Amino acid sequence: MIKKKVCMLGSFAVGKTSLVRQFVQGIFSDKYLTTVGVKIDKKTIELAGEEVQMMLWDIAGEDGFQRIQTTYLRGMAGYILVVDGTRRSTLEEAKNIFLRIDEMDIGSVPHVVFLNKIDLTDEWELKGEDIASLNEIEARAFKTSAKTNEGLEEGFLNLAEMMVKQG
Amino acid sequence: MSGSAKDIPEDSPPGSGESPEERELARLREIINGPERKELENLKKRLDDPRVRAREIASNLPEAFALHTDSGGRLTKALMPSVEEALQISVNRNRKSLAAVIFPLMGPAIRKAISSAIREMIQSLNKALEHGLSIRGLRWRIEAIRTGKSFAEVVLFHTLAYRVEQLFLIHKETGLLLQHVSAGSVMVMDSDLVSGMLTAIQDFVRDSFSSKEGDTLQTMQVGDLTVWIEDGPEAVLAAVIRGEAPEELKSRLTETLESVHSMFASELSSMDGDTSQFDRTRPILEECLIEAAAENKKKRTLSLPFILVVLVILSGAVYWSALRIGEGKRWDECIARLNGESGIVITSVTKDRGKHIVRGLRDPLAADPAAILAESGIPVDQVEATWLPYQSLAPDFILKRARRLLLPPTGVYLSLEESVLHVSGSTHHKWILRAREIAMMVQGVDSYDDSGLRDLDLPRLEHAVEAIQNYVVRFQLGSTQYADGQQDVIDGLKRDVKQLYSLAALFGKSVDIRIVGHTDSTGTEAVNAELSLDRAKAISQELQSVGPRISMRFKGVGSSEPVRAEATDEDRILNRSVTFEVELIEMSSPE
Ligand SMILES: Nc1nc2c(ncn2[C@@H]2O[C@H](COP(=O)(O)OP(=O)(O)OP(=O)(O)O)[C@@H](O)[C@H]2O)c(=O)[nH]1
Ligand SMILES: [Mg+2]
Repeated sequence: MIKKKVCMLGSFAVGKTSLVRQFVQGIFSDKYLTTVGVKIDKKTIELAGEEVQMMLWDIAGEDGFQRIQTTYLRGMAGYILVVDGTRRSTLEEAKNIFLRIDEMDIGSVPHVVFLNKIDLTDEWELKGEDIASLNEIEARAFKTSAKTNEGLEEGFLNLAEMMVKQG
Repeated sequence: MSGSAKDIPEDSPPGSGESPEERELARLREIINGPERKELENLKKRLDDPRVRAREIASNLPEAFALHTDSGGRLTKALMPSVEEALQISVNRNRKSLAAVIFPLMGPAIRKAISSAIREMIQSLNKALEHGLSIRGLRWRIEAIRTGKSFAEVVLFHTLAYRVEQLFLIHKETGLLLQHVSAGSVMVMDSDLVSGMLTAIQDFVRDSFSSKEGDTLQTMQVGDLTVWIEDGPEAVLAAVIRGEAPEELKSRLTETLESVHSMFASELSSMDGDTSQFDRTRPILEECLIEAAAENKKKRTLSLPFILVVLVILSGAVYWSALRIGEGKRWDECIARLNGESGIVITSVTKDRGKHIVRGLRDPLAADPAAILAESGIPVDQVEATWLPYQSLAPDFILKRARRLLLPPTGVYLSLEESVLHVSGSTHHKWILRAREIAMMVQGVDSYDDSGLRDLDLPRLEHAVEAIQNYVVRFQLGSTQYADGQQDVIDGLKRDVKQLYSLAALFGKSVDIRIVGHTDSTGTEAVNAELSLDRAKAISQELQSVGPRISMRFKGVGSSEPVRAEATDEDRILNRSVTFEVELIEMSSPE
């Protein structure tokens, strides 16, 4: 079995913890408990007949005061930038995180973007051009909902594929 | 006779007489003993001359020492007083050099000694307090007195009981679990998650309390389980221990981790997520699942005094670190900000008697560090900063410097591309020339490119040339007098010539004006030729007043080169005139 470390990154309250919880345990809660430090979960998926175990590092989100601790990113094989589709600013913040990782001199690390909370259609703020602008950070985007489980399987699987290819 | 007696050596045996036999005998002796005698003399010299003796002893000394150590310690004992004395003198004379020699050994040794002493103290304190007053305790006290050991040691000896329940072999970089072994009956939680969390905790501790890579968490206490963490270059070995394990276990873990490193060196360094290759570490790890039984299995509880001691120590540490973290964080952030500022390089940050000492380099164009310190709310009197000036080679600083030096006018844009300074936009020739001269003086600029810059003066020069060539100064019939209204034309001409000259000079060119006199086709060609030449001369005199440096030539062409083919009177009027041809000549450069 292949094991890979994956980091969940993004601004605070975009739904990193909820996504992991839904993906691993199939549970969703409306309650918001901010993550302190890091929480680690795992999920084994099957990819072309082979098992891949993803160690999901759910890292405390960024806010105005605290940046992501880069030591937690050490050795990651891939990462997911989570954007809250109902808060447009979180998209820029996700791009910034990408740029900072890009500067870290760890080579190109496979990554995808989750545009989360797609179930909240009325409050959705992202437009086509916003999503197109993700080309800048060389990332495929997936519309996801930690609440309805929409897009999660596809997104995580996609990242896993990229990571396995990278070796 | 006496002369021959001199041949007999002085040290001939006494009583050597004059008799020929005796003389013969002496000679014979000399022949037989001569070589040995020389050798004897040499030997005598060797024994008598201290310098020769010293040289010989020196060459044999190492061997002699080796022989002696083999055959017991007598030499050592004999040498001891002298060596001790020598050391004493050396210490008295120059402490520093001796300290420098010992230091690398002392540091780690002292640290190790202190930390193990503290651990032992807590361990033994715990036990001693627990057993101090029981009957068994009394028995152990007697044993201590009898054997000459400390009471604590005796207690430890009787109660030491522990079990290594689980071992985690963790890939250091990724935190992925490489292998996990556990003792038979142990309830195990998800070992992959434990492995990840242990790594995250290490990261957290390192980030929060220590700046050095090598500093790691070594022990963790979870309920009555202790986690010992052995840190290696590529992998980490964590042992979950119930009870209190002796210090020897630690070296056991270290050895195990070392052998994992040496046996799986290539697998470790090229780990890409495939952990199955580490299944072969199982037997090595399983050997560390050690169990040691204690005399009594009674569940031990922590004594109140011990808890109190630990609480006091802990709360002191927490209070102290909270204080330090609050103040230290602000300072760290401030330093990080300064370091992040381009044009500022911090070379050292130290602390001396409560004051922060900052040293670094600062480009004169960089932000003011004092302002940044003030913004961070750090009292000025707590900081002593020394900045050496330097020129930053960050692109934005090279550009800043270029702007300062070149003073680009509006409409000129500077940009930098790998130390090539590009200039674009449009401006006057003068600035372009100056910029070319001084651009390379900007620190960090290796070459200069103004191919994208439009010269606003170039079209003006072309214009000026054309303007002069368009002038036609008309004259009265058969005369060198200007036709009516031509004075204005002459004035305009003078102005334009003047301008042409200054523009041309700007471009490093000289102007050659040919003044061509014309006539209409009436009259004889000889008269016309002379008239046309006079007209040209008149204009040339007129233009002399513009400036002394003006170079002009004039010629008369009569009616041979009419301004306009003559058909009407109007054409004829136009042909009684002077026209101009202008040529710009590259001035040879002053060099
Ligand atoms: N409707 C809806 N709500 C969501 C979704 N994902 C997360 N939430 C809610 O958003 C809030 C924040 O979610 P978290 O998962 O805790 O966010 P986080 O990114 O882990 O936040 P930090 O740990 O503070 O960085 C919670 O109240 C969630 O219930 C989603 O897809 N749809
Ligand atoms: Mg969270």
